[in-house]
Amino acid sequence: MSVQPAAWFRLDNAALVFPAVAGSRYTTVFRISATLTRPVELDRLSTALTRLARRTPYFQVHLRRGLFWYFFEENSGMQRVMADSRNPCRDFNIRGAGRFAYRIRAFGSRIALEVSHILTDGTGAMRFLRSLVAEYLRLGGCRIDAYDDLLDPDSEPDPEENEDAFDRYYRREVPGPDAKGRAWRAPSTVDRHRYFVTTGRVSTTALLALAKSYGVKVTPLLVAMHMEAIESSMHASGSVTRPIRVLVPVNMRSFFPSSTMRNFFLYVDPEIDPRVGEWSFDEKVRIVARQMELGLDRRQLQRHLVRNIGSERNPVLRVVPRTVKDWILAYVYRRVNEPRFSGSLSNLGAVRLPESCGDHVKHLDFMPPPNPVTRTNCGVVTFGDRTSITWASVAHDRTIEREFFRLLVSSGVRVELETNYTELWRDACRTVTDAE
Amino acid sequence: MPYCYRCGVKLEDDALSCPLCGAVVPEDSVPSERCWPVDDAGERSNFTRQPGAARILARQILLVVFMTPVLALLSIRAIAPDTADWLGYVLVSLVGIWALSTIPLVAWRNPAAIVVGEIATTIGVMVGLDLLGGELAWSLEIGVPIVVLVSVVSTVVTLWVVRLRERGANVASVILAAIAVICVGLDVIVSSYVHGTPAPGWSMVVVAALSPVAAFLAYYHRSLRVRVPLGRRFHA
Repeated sequence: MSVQPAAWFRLDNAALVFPAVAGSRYTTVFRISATLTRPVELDRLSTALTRLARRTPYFQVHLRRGLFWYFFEENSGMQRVMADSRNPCRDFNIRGAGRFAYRIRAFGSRIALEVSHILTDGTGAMRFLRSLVAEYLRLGGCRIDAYDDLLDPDSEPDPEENEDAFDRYYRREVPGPDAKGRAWRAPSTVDRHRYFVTTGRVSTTALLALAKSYGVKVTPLLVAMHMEAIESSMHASGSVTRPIRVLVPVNMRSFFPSSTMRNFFLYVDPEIDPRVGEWSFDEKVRIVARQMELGLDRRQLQRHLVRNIGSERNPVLRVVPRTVKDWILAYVYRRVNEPRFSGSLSNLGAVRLPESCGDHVKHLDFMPPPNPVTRTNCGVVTFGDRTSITWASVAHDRTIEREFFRLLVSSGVRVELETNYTELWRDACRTVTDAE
Repeated sequence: MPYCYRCGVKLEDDALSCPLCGAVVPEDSVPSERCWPVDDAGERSNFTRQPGAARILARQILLVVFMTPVLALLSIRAIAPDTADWLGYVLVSLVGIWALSTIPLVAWRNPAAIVVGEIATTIGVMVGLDLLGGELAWSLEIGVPIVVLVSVVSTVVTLWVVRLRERGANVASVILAAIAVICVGLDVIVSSYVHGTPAPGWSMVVVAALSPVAAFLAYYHRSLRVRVPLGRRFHA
């Protein structure tokens, strides 16, 4: 089927809030990277990017301002590979003509995709990066027999890849979710320019075995560890004033079939309340697993979807000028929405590449966007027997990362650590050694 | 195969610098084993300029720069219509300069449209200024003919020079000839307006002074073109 790239299109429902809050503190940019077994060949990567760009017209756009809403317009500029930075996901200006909402960066044997949440979510970004890596390896002589869900640069784009799936599954009669109050957040100085990244890589088999020993899946286990780490920080600060609530993004494609490459995610928000008493780690695991099980239900998720879409369709809100909307959305997001969470943990799950390509990729990493409100957040992705757990923080305090990995190591899972700050690297190494 | 010592990526065999960070590639470069770059080079690089974006920006800037005083003057006229007789002249001039500046940006890569647009705008400004005096007094008799004369001669000379196969002293020769023609034309137009009869006067002095120079330059260029040394040509 031949599809002409749209000259312009509306932002999807989840993306509407991001242009209002996007800035140097909250860049809305997250990052997915693939580390290969050999150094990246720049020319080959550029060729692969050019070929894939033709296949993904909905990514070759720039953000423009309308009177009532922002919108995406076709960007006739050519995307190119860029140098990597010590502080990823920073200094990414998406406003204005000619500015892409994503960038490809190369460093050593690593290919990284940094993309604004305005454009897509983790699943869409991962599909794009996997397709780019596959094309890069194919150009290097790697044979790909079946593309499966990868994007074949020689094929035509599917119109469904550019759909607003939120709109498709909206049901007006469903009630919205219950409102929740503020959560406890670790006090720390926020850095506007640096992004502290701590990546721990563990054996998937060992992690699965650990989760199985608790009778839960991996995500609830990691969320419980996250809560345990936050609780350590809470007790250290001596201020037990609010519940601990962790935002866990959910890929809606698993519940509402769609092949969209744009945002299609919502979240569940398991919580514990230390004000009512102490919870053991086992209890936290069980509570989180139960809450996630209840939240990960098509009907429950539809309640969140209805709330978001309902606001977008409100006739009064629609005719409010964009500038005024920006003020309102930014205020609501920063003062009401984000303070409801103590942190976030996003798990992209197990990612696959064609068998012939898999041998050329060492591991994948997933880094959440800088967030000055929740400050320290976690991204998890699994490739083969390597599960990458990346903590990314704008805070100067490293307590949460340190406690999380200490807990993981003390549970018998060996962790390989990597950071973008030498002083942190030494500190983290010492932590693991102590725990062992 | 060389590697960038900063980015660690593999470059082309003949690469002298890294296309990503601009670092010079040493001859004995080896792959980097670092996990992260040592600095923040390469930031703010998701920007690629749209084709024509600079012209659009220039048009917008010109619009704001010229239309702001125009709106201010219109406001003054609305508030005190009897006290500002001079406002019309300033308004017509501002709009004229704005149009003259904007036409090349709008009709980019279309020289004919630019020339026609600029001539029409200049004539329009002249007629407009003349009309502010109450009636058409001088624009049609002296203003428009001068604009047409200068524009036509300039356009012809430009086209002629652009199409010349060899450019050298012949360009100066053509320009001098054009100046002479314009001077004669001005003299005729002005004398017709002042005295009622076209009687060239001072322009003949200009023609007498420029013609020999233009002729010599044309001859000099031709002698070089046919590769005849001047010494041989002017030997005594």
